[in-house]
Amino acid sequence: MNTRLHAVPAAGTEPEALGAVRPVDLAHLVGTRVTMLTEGTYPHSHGGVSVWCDQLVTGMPDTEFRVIAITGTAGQPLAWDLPAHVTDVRAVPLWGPAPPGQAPKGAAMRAFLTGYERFLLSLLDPAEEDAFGPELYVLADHARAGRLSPALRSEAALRVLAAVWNRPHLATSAAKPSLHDALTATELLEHALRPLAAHPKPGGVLHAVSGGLAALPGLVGNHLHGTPFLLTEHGIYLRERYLGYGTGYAWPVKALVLGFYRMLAVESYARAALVTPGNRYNRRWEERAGAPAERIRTVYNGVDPAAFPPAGPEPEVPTLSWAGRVDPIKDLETLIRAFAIVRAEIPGARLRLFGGTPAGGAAYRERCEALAVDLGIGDAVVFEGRVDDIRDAYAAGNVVMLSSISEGFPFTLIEAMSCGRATVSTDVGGVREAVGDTGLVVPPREPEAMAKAALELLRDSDRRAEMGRGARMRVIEQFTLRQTIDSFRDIYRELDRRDRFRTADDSGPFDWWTPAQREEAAAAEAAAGRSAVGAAG
Amino acid sequence: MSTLLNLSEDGPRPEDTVVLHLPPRRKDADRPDETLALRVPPPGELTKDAAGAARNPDETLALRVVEPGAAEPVPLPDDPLDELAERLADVCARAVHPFEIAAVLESDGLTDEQAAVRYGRTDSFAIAEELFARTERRHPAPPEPNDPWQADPLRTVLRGLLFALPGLAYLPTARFLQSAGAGSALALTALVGWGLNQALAHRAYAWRSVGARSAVGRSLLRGGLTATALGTAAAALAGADTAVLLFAAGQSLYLACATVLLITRRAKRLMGALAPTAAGAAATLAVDLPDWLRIAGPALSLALAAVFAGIEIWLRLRAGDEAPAGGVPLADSLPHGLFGLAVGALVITASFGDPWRPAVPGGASAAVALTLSMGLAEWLLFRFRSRSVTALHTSTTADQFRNRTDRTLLLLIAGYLTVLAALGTGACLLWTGKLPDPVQLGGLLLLGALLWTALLLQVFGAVWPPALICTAAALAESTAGALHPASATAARLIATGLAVGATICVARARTGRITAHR
Repeated sequence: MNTRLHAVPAAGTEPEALGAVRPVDLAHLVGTRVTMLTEGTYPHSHGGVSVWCDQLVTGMPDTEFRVIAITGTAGQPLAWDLPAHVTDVRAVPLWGPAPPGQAPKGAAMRAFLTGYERFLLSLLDPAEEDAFGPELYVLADHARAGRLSPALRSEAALRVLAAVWNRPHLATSAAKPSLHDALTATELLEHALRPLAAHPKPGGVLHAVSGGLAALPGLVGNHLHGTPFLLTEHGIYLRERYLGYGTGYAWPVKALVLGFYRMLAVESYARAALVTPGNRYNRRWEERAGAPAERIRTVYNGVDPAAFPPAGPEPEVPTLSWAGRVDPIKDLETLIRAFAIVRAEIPGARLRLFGGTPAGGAAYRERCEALAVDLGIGDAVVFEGRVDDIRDAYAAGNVVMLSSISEGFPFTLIEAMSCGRATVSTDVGGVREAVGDTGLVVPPREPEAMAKAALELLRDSDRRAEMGRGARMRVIEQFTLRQTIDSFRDIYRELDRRDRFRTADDSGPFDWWTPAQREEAAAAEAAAGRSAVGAAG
Repeated sequence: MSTLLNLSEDGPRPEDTVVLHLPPRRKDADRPDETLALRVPPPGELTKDAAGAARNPDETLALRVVEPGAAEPVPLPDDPLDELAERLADVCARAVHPFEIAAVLESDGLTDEQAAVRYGRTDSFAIAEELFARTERRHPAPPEPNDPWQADPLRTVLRGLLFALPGLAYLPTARFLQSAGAGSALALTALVGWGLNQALAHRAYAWRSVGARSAVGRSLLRGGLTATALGTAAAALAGADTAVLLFAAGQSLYLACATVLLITRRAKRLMGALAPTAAGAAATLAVDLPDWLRIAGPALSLALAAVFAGIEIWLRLRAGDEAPAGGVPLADSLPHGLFGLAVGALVITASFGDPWRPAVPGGASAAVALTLSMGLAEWLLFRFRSRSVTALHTSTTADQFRNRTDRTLLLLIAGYLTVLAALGTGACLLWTGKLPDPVQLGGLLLLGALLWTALLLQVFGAVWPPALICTAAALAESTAGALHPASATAARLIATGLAVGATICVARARTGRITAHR
């Protein structure tokens, strides 16, 4: 058990002093102190964002890192070995028993309820949205004193919610919200607001590695101490909430909870000194939810080109390969259908699928296998399962395929590119930005288009080779791990410096773009403009 | 109104579509028709001064909006969005914000390029906003969750039998328990046993709720042994002879084992263990058994129950997991023990009389009826919870909800008392061949109402109120009986009646709270 892992202290007590937690020599830590804010990822679980956090932390050994990690329950073991310059890990469990504490009494409780009513209205009434931020910070004060959870769970707070919902001018009143809905919504809100109790120390930079609840401690630290708040988004937290709450909850519950996540996104984008999406595609949501364009800067994921060297000669038999998790979001059915068309043209062709099936995903895999059999290509489609060395998966194909219906900035794609393979991928998330002209990009869920692109490449070895060389060059030029780390090192330094030397009149937006980036951005905007029909009136 | 349309910078292409949404025209418009002018600016004009506009009159195209019916209707091209709106009708109707539709569109693979080419809109957000605006909201109920408070009515009958069957042990063994003071010694043992086993059950459940398996085993072992020892000691203090003392020890051990088996969800095994007792009782009624055979049934049941309970305890002790720090404070179990003790006193007084006055003839039938009804009482507690959840789903205001829970409370108490009255009458008929006298039956029903409401309060986490109310009632009865034996019965009815009123008041306050039902 790691001694640095401890839950948020009981309300009202000060967090332990850093030195008491782990006496290490920090003299060599010259960089900015960064407090990383995570939810459900680093350092308690594995997965894409955790890998990215680990890359960042291990890539900056001279920077002191602290982590405030929002976890499911208390006492989750660490999934990563933490280097010595990670000096503190604080877990904030969302679930489990409510934190100890007492609801306010008398006039204080009445004041709480008035504020809570304004808070609820800000989630439901477009005209009241301005109240969200101020009321959120009042709730945070209560949370730090241990009063928030008991106050939210009180009968009086429940009645406030039931009354607000039924105000005739709100859309929720038409949905006839029941008291059961009020209990459910209160429960969800109470758990979601628990991270407000985390109180980051002043100084340094607060870096949320996803939107949503991870931003809560960042907003609190920014509000209390003016600590600069940096927000990185690999996916779009808000979009995923909208998908996740689709059908499982009654309409008023959904309206309230999704209203909370939407307003939290708006507040986070408004307060962030900088928003760094993992691809340009995701900027759309950020700008839509109010992030000022000049404070958004895309920082791409990177790979180490030395760890993914050119894959060497192509296989003898024409082969399409695919690597990833066997999951419906990867839309393997489209890939298999596309391959059936390819196979009709090139009878000897094969499709090899590399990657494990997650728990509960066996049914999807069986469905895909059945589809291949139905299409008469059962022998040519092979599920290879998990491989020890993912590079073998890229080497196994003349062309590497990506058929997903949703992606951020996929590691598998830039890894395949680094290995010098030509790719055919679907136009989702940041894929187009990653591939550029070094592979073919087709619309998602369209087997014919995908087959056409695959055939084009399979029949033209010169073009494949040229694209593969171009792909590796593109990674080396734009998507190396070093570039990612250097970008964040610069951002940390700049935010910290700006914070230390901030003066009253120095509040204008900072120019984050290097001249090269500005040119690239202008070119991208122009490219986007060509295909869009804009109307303003 | 002047609107600027940004078409592609290299000029319009055949596939470009321009959609204009015009406000609905007023019926009583001054002019019968209106004209729209669409002007395509020459390249570069937008960056120059506005004067350039006048120089290219030929670039202007006039569109005339005509009165409906004034001319041949021109069929409008189908908006591709109509098909999308139809396909996503459900999503759009249940959406809480245009973002929800945009999220679904994007997860469906829609890119901004497709939004422009296929639908003539700038991006997925524009489409989502349009779909959100033109769809009427619907609020479908989410899938019905399973009722967590479903209870099998057959199981309730079995539970009642499970509580009542051990009483059969008295039938074959009654002839050994005739010494003076045997009754009060056994009553005292039962009292101690009920109190301690209530507390023990609370401790074991509390440990289980924090997932501490070994601690459950330890508390069951220690608590069970303590309850057995103290129960036996109580009989010894009351001056029991050897036979009564042996019976008291057996009864205490059985109570502890039954507690273990009920907590560890081994009701079926407990039922099996009781088979020899039931067989012995049946044989006693049929033939005159020799002494050793009379003892054999209950003794075998006790041995079986002890073995089964021992196995469960051993399985838990073997888990060897650490108990969480803090644990379960003894004080938390105190009200449970007190409640068991008080209820025991009330039942014994009501059934067998108290030391200051002779027992009511057939009074023991009241105890049998109460015990048999406990299974039903449990089932009705489940019904209460289930109906409260339904009330939460169907109420929109706190007042509606309170009215519904009040009604449920009265209905279920009435239902319970009806069945209890039938059981009490039946048991008394079997016992004495006569109908119970109204005072006796009234006392039984008051006690039943008190017990059920007290259990309801415990279910809702109110532990101290029922413990204190029942203790006060028990003390009041005994004191009044001791001071003025002649009015003991009246005192008993008044004390129980007041206690029923108090518990119902507390139960109304407690169950009327919405947050008590989460």
